[in-house]
Amino acid sequence: MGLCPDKRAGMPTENREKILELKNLAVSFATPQGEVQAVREVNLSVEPGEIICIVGESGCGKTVLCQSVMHLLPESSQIKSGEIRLCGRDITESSENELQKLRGTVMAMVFQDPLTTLNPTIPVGKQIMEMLLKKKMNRREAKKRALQLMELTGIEKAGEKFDLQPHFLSGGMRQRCVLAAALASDPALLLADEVTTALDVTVETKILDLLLEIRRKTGTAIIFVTHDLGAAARIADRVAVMYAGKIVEIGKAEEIFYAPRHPYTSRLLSSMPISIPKNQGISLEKDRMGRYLKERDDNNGGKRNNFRGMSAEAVF
Amino acid sequence: MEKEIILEVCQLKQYFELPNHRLVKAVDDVSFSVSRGEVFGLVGESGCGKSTLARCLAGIYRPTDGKILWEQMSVWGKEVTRKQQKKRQREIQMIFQDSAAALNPRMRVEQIVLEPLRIHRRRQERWQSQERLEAALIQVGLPPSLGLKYPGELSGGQRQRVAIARSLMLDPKLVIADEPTAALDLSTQAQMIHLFQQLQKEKQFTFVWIAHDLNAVRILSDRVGVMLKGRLVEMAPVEKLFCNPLHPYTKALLSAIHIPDPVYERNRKVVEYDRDTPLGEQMTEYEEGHFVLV
Repeated sequence: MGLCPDKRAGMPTENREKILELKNLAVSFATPQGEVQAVREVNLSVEPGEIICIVGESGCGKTVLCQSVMHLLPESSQIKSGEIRLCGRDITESSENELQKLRGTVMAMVFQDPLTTLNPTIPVGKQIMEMLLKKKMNRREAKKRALQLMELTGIEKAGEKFDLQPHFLSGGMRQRCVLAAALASDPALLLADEVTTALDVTVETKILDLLLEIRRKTGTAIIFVTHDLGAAARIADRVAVMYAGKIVEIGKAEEIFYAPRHPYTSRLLSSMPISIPKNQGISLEKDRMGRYLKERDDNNGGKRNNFRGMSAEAVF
Repeated sequence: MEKEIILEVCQLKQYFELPNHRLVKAVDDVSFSVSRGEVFGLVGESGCGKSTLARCLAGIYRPTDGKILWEQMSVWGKEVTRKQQKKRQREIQMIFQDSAAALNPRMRVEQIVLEPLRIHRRRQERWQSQERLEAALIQVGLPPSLGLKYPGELSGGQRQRVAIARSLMLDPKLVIADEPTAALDLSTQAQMIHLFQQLQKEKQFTFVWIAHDLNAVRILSDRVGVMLKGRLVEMAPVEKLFCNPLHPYTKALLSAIHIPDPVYERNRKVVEYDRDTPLGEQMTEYEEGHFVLV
């Protein structure tokens, strides 16, 4: 498309080694009604420092895809075919022991609900330190590093929060602690599964900016799973749209949002109500948005998806 | 045409006492009114008292202080007779956020949807109630055959539709919805908003709803109230609020809206709000219908 040059750091170049490569990955669940294919023939490659958003409706296989990369699939499911390569190494058939060494060091995952991820009885600081102690760091260093991580994730007065149990903290704070724990070992790949879904809009934006900041500072590649297209638009370099276990469209964020090719993608985009707040001091190029909207409308057979006759253009 | 005020809230206060004798001011000095047939949206961060306010309106909590007037009649108090109370319970219905928890898992959909009729002694002949059930399910876009299923067998969107069908069973004058779309995913959210829009147009009920998706609020509501720390900080007709937010918190909230446009999103700046600033004392009318707390 070339609508705008992307100046941000960490954009992939041609010859770099890929962090993660999925080849024809298929995962299925055994149910009493028969086999359910949750992920079907997915091909995906992630380059260092890249943020890929996986979007799609619930039940389309986003989470299962993440779980299969981490090898944390539920017992009733199994990887049917395909290959998972992490930093050039095939980990599809790796033993539990080998995987345990990779989890938390090369790859880390943040789950949707920060309340159930953290142990309610252990102070948050200790939970962040856990990963560092596993790496044979001594206690004092580990505590120092944990405090640094808490500050990196935007927790103010980290020293005070260090000894608190999770329930003393708000949802946003908890999510930051989980992020800090995930980042404790400098993973090359961070899988974030709907991390902002349970949070307020204002907090959500902060967490998204935090992920961008972390990518800039540490060069971690991030797979960000969400169903919020707005969130995806804010942080994604590339967007993959999943439907019924398949990636139906993948491309640069601009391509997906401005010129969706797959009918499902354009339907998904049109299901999101748009209202642009005025007087926010943000310059918005009329043409770009106008073109995008026109394309969007054309894709809907000329039918406007406006509710109550309010169009986004009218708000300019 | 003069709008008829159907619901009036005067200086409503709802405090909760914690086990350690600390007082939580969940709703503090909130006043507003809603006219007949209006769609009133409530927004604010989590924990700001939106849900408590909604529950007060539905008569679930007994307010600490202040008045709620439903059709000029007090909702709580000694003078309220049992009959009046029953009537109000019939006229005000509520839809909850988590439909999985709001529906009894051991009842079939048909029992759930027909339960309001049973409770309010409106049980009809068998054939007639079957007809009502089918009509109720069809109006929310569900196949009548779903009546024999249990809530556990339904998807999130279907469950929320069942909850809506149940709340509309008694033809209420006021429907209160507490984040009806929060637990659903994107495409289902859009369906729900369409459904609410269409039902509201059809039945002309007054609709008070809570949301944290500001895009949806703009589409569906006539008027919006913004809440912060138990106080109502701004209230205005929806376009006035979105085009000309006055309170700093509203500005911060609006600047957090996501737009699915990568270039816009990357350049969007979030307005910070300092939450330690003291809130004002009095709601002041800035222009017609646009109130701000200063």
